[in-house]
Amino acid sequence: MKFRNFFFASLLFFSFGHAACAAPTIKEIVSPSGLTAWLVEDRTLPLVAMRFSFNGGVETDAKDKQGLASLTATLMTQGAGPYDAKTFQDKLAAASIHLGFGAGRDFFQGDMTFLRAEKEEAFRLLSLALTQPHFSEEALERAKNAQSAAARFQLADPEWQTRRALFDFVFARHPYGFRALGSSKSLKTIAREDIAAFARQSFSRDNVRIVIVGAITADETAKALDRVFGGLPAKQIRTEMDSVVWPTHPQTVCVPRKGGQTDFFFAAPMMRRSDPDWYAALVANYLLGGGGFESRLMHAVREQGGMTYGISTSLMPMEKASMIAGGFSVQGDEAIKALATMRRVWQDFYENGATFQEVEAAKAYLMGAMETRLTSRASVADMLLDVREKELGLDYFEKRKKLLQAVSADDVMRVLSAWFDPSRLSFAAVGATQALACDAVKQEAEE
Amino acid sequence: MIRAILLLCFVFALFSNSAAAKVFAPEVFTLANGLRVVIVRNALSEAFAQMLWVSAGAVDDPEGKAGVAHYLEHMMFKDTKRLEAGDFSASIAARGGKDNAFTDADSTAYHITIGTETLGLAMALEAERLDALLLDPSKVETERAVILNERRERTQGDPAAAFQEEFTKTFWSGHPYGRPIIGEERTIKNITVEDLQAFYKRFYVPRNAVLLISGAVKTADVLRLASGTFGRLPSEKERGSLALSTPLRAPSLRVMTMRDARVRQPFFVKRTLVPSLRNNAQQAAAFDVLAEVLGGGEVGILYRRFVMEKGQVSAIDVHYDSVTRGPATFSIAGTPVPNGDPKALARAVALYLRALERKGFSAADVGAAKKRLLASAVFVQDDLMVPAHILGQALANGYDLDAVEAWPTRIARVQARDVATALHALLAEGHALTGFLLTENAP
Repeated sequence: MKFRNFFFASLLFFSFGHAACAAPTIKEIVSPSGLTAWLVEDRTLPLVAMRFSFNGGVETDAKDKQGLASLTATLMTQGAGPYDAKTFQDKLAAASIHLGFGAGRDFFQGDMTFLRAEKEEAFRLLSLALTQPHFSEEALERAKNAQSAAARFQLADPEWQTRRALFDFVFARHPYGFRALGSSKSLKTIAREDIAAFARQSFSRDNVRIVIVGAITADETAKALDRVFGGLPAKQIRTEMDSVVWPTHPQTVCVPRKGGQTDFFFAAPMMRRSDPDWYAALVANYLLGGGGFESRLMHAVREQGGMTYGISTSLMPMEKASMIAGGFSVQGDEAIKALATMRRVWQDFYENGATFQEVEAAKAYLMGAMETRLTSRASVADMLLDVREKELGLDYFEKRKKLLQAVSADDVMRVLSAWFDPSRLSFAAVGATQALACDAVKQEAEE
Repeated sequence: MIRAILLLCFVFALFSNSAAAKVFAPEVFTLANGLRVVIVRNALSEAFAQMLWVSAGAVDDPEGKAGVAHYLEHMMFKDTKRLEAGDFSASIAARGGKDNAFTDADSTAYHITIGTETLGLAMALEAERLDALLLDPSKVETERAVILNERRERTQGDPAAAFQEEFTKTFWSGHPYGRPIIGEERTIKNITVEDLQAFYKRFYVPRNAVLLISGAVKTADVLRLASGTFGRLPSEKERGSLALSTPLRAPSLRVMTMRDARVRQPFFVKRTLVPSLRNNAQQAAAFDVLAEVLGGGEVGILYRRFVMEKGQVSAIDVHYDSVTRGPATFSIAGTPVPNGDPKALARAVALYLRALERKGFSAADVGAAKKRLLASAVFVQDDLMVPAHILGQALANGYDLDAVEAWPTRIARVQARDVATALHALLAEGHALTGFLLTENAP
């Protein structure tokens, strides 16, 4: 990076930006019955953002009932206690309560945002949704229609097809390979009893984690916890899932498709989130493909080569697997050149590592960036839920700063050697794949 | 190092006179060179957001050169007199910040989110590229390939995107709003360095821009830094009217149908020309309420009727944006249930709206919709960038602060009969287009 004018160089740092203290003040609240929540109080808006999650998401679906967890998420707000779907929705809308659920990988999440003035009503309705959901046949039919339509829209999206092709390979024998929305076929087999069973098995007091941010006191929170979650069964009924076993040999899976560009998605195994070298891996990923325009891959493939609109990598730590993944989209006849460039850049990084300057720049970004992610009640609540799900501790923000600060170029080199060998990457390619070196050729996901 | 600050005078304009509820209560100042500076308070965040909105968008592209505004937006990240290509984003990243930009039909916005103590840096960088962009011909060429990739990625892979582009073109019937913002392959290939330079020289001037700062910032700091950076830019003449002078022509078709082998889920959309906020502010409020009554999540009338009662629809969506430079539009889109017929669905929705037109709206439905809209003015404040976006768009498109700040007052004034009048106008309007995206073998 060079500057033509000293004015800018002097504004920039060789003092690599000491990030101001970005840690929100978190109180751990314990309710009379022993439920815990993390609370961040803020009275500057009369608003509260609440997030919570239970263990077990999309991967708990049975193989022939893919889409079950997602359907359940939709049905949580379609009638509860004395209120049918229409009335329940009317009550939420009348109090301007935003309540939604979602099934992700590993976790089933809920979020509720409400005005302080409506907090009693919000807790009352949420409690009903969790403990007395109707799961009516009518609502199930409606939810299936909506989910089936959403699944069909996905089929026409080449990026989705590319990710699907790769996950079908690397997660061939693991439930992480299930389709979150299912297919028209799998949705047909899901019955009301399946939804009720999912809820019964998942929602319990021993596996819920709760965060709450905004205009609410510790005392109000403690009371609300028992009110909302107290009626749930004590223990979750779930069998432990096996960890993912990666395919012994990486592959390139090709899916021919007409019209449009050729899309790539790639992945390789990565260290677990709890590994003491995690922050060195974060730095390495930032420099390789996570740092947008600051990354080596973006610089080579887009800035210099003009071959793509975007190429990136990210670390994806999960409960039963961990990986590095990324992708890009190129014109068909540039695919081979783009792949070669990507491999060359990756190989060079893997063999030669990063400079002191690069590592310090990555650290400066990663430390400063935390502040830019804590800018609203919603974003603070999302972050805290993630911290709780990954079991990173109440002192996460301080710990993170220290661990990041300690990362050296040597640490990065060690992590690169152990985890960033590009020959371990598997690829999926969708588009004009005839000229590529494919290990397998598959059809597009159709249904 | 910094040169002595030249004598400046601001026009201090603090809007606090609207009697009823406000939304963001920003402070606004105008520098001597015409740049407006807007400050929105956000007490929760330690980071701040900066946006620079330029009152120029795809609608200002020269004839036959669709894509200039967007292309220039790309080039704004490259060389300036004092920065090399990449320095802008690298400087932001070095402090943990993020930066990006987007081009709309009406205007273009550049935004940064970054931590404390970097206000001066963010402003210095933004002022530098507003003032001294270089447009190196070889970098312009490389970026052409990137933009062509972006276009292919956006419109060629997914049939819904190709449909969107064709539908927009047909709806606007030759008007600049019908152009794809990114341009077409042919026009992107024809854009020259001179085209970009002319656009930059004409539109990228302080008098034509709005700077917004959102965060826990001190007014005095913002003004001091703004005058030290943007304040030094010369005063250029205004771009001229923001109004769009091209006459409107109703589309030659009433219905547009596209079929594609890659479509797995068909849908329909109907778009209609309606008053913008500029055309009639109170009527625009009535259309806001109409959109909420018809399409407000799962309590909207169309959802209740077609998803719950009739089971004909998987999803329904109603959209209206009033804060446009030119004419505004009102859209209703519906996705039929599996194996449902989108044409039959579109007919059923049209018939139902006619029946509603005869029956009118209940005070209860209208009251509930208004209540939801007014509550949304609180929820929308729980974000760092969104308030800057809303205010920036309004000001860049030629509106004043009251367009945003007096919105709750206008909504509160809307009665059931106003909503009925809006529906009547919607159904009577001849400039409208219904579009279907179907599977290849659909009848």
